[in-house]
Amino acid sequence: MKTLTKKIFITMVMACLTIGSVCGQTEVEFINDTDIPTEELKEASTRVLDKVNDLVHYLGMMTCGSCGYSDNTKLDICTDALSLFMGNGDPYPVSVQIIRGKDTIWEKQTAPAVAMQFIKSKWTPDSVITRLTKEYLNSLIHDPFAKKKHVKIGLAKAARIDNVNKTSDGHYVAIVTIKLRTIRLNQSESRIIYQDDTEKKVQVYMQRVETTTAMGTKMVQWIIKLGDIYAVKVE
Amino acid sequence: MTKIKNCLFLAIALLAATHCHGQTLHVIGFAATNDERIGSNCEVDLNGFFNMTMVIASMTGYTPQYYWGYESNCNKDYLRKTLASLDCGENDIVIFYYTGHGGRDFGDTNRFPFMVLNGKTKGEYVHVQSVIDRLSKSKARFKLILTDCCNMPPSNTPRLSKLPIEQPVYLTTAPETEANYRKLFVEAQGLVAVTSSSAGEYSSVTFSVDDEPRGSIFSIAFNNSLAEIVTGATKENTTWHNLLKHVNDKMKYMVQPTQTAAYTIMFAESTWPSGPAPSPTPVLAENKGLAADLAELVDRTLPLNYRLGKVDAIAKKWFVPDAQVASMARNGNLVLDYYNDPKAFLRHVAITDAVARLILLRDMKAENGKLKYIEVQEVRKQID
Repeated sequence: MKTLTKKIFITMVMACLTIGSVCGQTEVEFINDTDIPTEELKEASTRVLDKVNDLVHYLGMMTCGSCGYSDNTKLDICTDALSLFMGNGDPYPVSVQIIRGKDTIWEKQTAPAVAMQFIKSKWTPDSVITRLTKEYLNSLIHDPFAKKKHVKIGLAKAARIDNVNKTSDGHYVAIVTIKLRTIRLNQSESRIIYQDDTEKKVQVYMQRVETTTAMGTKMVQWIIKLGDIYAVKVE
Repeated sequence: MTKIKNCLFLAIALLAATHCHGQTLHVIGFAATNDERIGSNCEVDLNGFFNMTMVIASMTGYTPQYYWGYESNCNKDYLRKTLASLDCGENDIVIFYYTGHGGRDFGDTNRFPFMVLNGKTKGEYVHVQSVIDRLSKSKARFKLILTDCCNMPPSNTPRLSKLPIEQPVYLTTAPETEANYRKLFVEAQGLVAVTSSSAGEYSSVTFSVDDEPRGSIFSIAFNNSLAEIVTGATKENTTWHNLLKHVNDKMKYMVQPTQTAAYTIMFAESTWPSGPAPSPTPVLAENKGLAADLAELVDRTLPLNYRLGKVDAIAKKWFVPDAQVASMARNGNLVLDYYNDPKAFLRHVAITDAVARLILLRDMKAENGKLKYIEVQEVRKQID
């Protein structure tokens, strides 16, 4: 998991996003104003929830042994799922503001790849494990026992945005709370063997840029990427 | 303004296309975009209106045909010619929209104002009632007339609001959404005319605190109320009365002192006259083939393996390899996702369960005729 000291504020250079989302557009510049119209923030926040909902859907698809998806299909799902995350699941470049006394230095660094936390089961609520998101999703494609697993993953409760905070670099970070329901079924899928609801917090990075589309129209664009996912509690 | 111009090209392309389609949605949009004070707001309004009508076309299965009057074309003569050129079939729909300055004469008892358009003298003004009279004679099955302008003697001091404005409704599609659009626009027969304020009232435009134009209060309220009522968010029956009541309720919270939309609803009792009603399909001018391919990609009744298998072929057929795709917010002025690879976009809409429909808004072609850029609006399913 990424850890930040109090004196270091992380900012997204978004080079990774530039590759994934913006290159090819004729102009991209940062907007530093703090006054985001409420209606715009709501549209962007709704898209944040869309992305989290998409992720939950993808997790459900990739863990569904009985759905019969081919490895190629799972690979496509995995690629699309990873595209939701910072750096597409790989380490990504950031600019870090380091305050030394009165001096402020901006340093280019590489942030670690995004990670996900899991709680092993509701019987062991303290057993939190952390895995790199890319590694975890890839493992689902190649899981030799996947077809024998009868697991259903979905939301027990609608995802909600707890807050959207502006960071020191002018970007935004949102925290989305989800309650992920995991159900394991027997071979014939007639009986539930195990069920838990894990509350998770998804960190979401939001960046507002002014961009010119291929048609030459100036527009505001929100670049929204998921970050680390923390497991809070299981029941 | 580039966007509007592109819409104009789209409209020209549609002129040829409409002759072979049964049901046409005639969309007439006039906006005083040249006005020094409120022109930028009118441009925002017109973009929002364009997006709204694309959704209506998509949900009802009608083929849109656009007639734009903005910049120097926002004038009496061009309006007269546009109305005279309308050639409607009996099942067609006409939507007329004007955003700009308006006013009324002392002693005028008509509830509707006159539109100033770009007029400098009174002789160039056009009374909304004359548009209503003209369109009521049209063969079209249903006519909607929306005017967003002041309804009191013209002044040089338009109402400029910086109040917190209405939050747009993110359009989702509930099972009843298509049926509700049909109730309002297809099953209705007659004419609905709405103007943004009652006699003696101003109509307001709004800016953000940093002076970015946000459009006009009524246009925002109408667009949002429509999205709310068709998706069932208002928990009310989908009728024109309820929709317009909702618009007025909404405006009460948006501007003080409030403005109250005045309207006339003239309906004939009827059902769909003859033959099958058009089935809802995504539309985009000459790109109907692409729309059909996209509809297949989001058709969850087809196996995912099959839909993903179509991605490469669809990308190759319609797009240049480095084509860009912008996924737009409902107001049409905000990019929520930007893809530099059409395959990534196509793969995403095939895999995600949430996108119920894709509405193609604008496009740009490369020299080889394939698409190098499209703007789409995702209509997402409601998630409980």
